Amino acid sequence: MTRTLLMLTAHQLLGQRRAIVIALLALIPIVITLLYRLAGDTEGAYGFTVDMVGGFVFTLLLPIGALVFGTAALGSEVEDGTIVYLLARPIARWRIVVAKAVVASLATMVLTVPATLIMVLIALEGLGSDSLWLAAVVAGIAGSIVYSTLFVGLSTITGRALIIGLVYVFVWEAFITSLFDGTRWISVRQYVFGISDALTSAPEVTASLDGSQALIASAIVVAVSLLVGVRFLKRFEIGEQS
Amino acid sequence: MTTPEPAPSGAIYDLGYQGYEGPRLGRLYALWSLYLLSLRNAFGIGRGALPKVLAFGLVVFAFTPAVVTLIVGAVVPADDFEIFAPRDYYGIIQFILVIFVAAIASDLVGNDRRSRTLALYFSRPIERDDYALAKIAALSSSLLALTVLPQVVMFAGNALGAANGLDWMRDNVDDVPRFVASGLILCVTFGAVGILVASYAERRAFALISVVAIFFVSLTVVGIIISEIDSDQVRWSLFLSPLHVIDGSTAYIFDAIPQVDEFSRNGEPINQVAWADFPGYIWPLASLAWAALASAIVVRRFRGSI
Repeated sequence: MTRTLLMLTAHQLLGQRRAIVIALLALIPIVITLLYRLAGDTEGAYGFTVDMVGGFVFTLLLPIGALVFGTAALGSEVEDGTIVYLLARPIARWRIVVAKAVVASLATMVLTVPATLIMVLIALEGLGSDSLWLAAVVAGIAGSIVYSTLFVGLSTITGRALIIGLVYVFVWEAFITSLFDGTRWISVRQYVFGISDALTSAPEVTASLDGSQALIASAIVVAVSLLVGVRFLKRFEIGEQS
Repeated sequence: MTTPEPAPSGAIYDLGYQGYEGPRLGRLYALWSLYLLSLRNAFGIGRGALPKVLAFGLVVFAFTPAVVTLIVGAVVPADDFEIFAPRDYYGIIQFILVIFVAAIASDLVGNDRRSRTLALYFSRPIERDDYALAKIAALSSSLLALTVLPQVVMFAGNALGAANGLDWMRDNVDDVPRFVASGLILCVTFGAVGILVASYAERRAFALISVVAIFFVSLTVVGIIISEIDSDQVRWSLFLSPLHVIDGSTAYIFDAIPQVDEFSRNGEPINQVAWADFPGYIWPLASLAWAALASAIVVRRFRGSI
């Protein structure tokens, strides 16, 4: 049953036009990297890679992908009313939430990780030094899990999870966090930077949280999102959505 | 109009149907009504609690720099004290503006389609072009509350807080036409581009993401292209990023395009605009061109089948 649920969700998330458009977004860093190589100058390839991963993949591609997949995994079932058929089955509610979170995380990884790897390979003509690629990939995977789970949890609370998630990513993480340093603890973006900073010795990569702090905070966010998601799905009342 | 006394037509029951004989207010009034309705909807008036919270929450965020400036100005007794200058204001709250545009544009266009009221609108005296332009106008006007209004509040507050209010006003009165003009250009451009993107997305969720993506992805991609690709030709790509164009427009109107130095290319969007070294007046024009082009496409979009 769980397997069916996983397959079904994967089909819902990846089998639509939406997935193709999002995939185009993942092609952007690869195209830019190709342009960069074609322009000839490879002296700053290292800094370029760090800029692309930090400035595009972690701050745009990752949160946007997680927002789309995370809020759609459960949210579109609630919106379309098909959640009823899921809840009427003898599946524990926590299984539903976990399955949705797992598939959303995987979908976000599929979006970000290959794009990151291909980009690094093109820009550095190989994996490069300082295990930069490892930092980018591991932080990308961790970020996919944290963001996606967070948004799956959020989508069980409200039908407008997408816009609230957008405000969180682009107003809170981008705007408020840059004004008030103390808010770095409540910013998934900072966790992602913290994890990537811990894994590479490259001096260009800096973060305001260190690796273990970021990891602990990430684990807390995932756990709380799942707990909240299960709790709200247990109390879910059919036919009373706003 | 004189109508002859209607002959009794009900055979058995008179159901009391009557023709409308009051004034016909016509197309312009319908257009005005649609504009007002959309403007009210933008702030969630006449809708549920959540749209109100969302819209006014973003307005509060947009006011934050102005409020901070006023509070600090009241505490620190210096006269020329500015944390957030009028010329930087729109750049600081850019992210909030984009989210607001995404949220409101997807609502304004998406709700009518989702609830199938679009066909009803088009069966009234309103033309399809009117509908498209009313939506753009409503979004642009609602943006004024997040752009020009905080500037006005900040200006008034600073004038009242200054030791010699009249002197301060005399020194800074130049800012008023500047923030009004640059704010208007910004609102029109954001409004038109927002409605454009939202009108092509079928689901509201997708409209939201698309509007955000268009602004931020173009900003980031063009920023990276300018700073990393070593060719002078890449300066033309700036025109593809609406946020770069609007930054340039605001800076030109405030006469504040920064000096170019060796770091300009890798710097903030406005430094990249300065690096490109186009004549300054091109930025407000490019901004208006974006607005005009986007509006034209929206009008075309609603002329086709929806």
